[in-house]
Amino acid sequence: MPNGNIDTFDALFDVVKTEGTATFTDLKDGIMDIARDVIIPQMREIATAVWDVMEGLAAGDYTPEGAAELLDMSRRAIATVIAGATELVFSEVQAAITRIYRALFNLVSGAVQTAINAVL
Amino acid sequence: MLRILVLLALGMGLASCGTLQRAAPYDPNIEQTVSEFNMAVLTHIAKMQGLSKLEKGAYGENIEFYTTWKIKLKVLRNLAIAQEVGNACGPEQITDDIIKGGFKELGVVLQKAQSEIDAVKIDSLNPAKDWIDSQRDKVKAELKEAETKLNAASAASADFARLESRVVRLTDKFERWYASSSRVTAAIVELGKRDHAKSFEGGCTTRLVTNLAEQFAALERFHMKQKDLGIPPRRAPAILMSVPIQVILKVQQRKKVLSGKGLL
Repeated sequence: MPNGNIDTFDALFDVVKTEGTATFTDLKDGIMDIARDVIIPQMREIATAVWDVMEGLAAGDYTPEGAAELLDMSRRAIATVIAGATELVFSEVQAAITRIYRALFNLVSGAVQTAINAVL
Repeated sequence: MLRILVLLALGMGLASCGTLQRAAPYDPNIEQTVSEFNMAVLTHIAKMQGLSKLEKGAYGENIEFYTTWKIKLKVLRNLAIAQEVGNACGPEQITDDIIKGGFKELGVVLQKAQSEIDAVKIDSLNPAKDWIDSQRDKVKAELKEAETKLNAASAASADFARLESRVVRLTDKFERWYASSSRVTAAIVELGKRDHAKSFEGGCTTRLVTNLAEQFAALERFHMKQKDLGIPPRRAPAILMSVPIQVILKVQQRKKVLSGKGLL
């Protein structure tokens, strides 16, 4: 049930809507940061490594079998970047949901608070 | 009554978000172990690069480092699995297809490069060489007839000598490129034989730590397959170990911040 500060559904909805909009903006910015700080620089590093494998083979610094392992490592590095970015997105989404839960939690009392506590 | 129902519906709606993939909590063990591994593996690679082509830099002389860290990373993986809250980590089949597609494209580019190399194969210079030979013979025949023509023949011979040395240089260059291209193609064929569609269970944190352990195992195989060459002073080995390390540390640092705010 609402606490003493909120006496209409519209008032409650306004608070949740405001919090939700701010959270979504933060989430969107967070995902853009992930692309800028994690995905793009790491992909550039991997491309540099693949190029180095080509040059190293030509120069005789890598054996064909050794180069195959490096190319396999490149594939795994790409998969790791994608998994890492995915985990960051999951973390940002979970943080956003927690923020909205919290806003709701502060507005209600009694049985609903207990229910929210169970999922937080 | 209506108000209570609306609140309960809202609560249930939010609770249903709990079915979304949950992120694993911040884990200081992962951050600490991966930080230590970062220092250890990069030091190891730098040391091995200094010993490249020497007996001390060969795989057989450095097995202990791999054994020690393989165990530590396995322990870390077990801890990550124990704390895992998710059971998937994004569209893995799509990811694998993209990655395999990337190497397929590389193969196409190399085949194209190979055909271009073939196109300028030394055999294609044979008609020019034949023509030069015939000209030389012609000049030689004329040499007997006149002193002036003798001078011309000498000039032609000098031209031929220059051209001949250029042909030799081109032949060497071609042979090197042909050998390089064949080695790259062999490496890609070797890679293509591997099974990339291996199924994976667990959430992203498990996958990240597993990938790090597998990346290290691949570094060990790389070192082994380099035979007498060891780990050469080139960029790829360090980069390919650094990428998963940096990603894991980035993820843990972000989780730390969110945990500090009580959001994760």
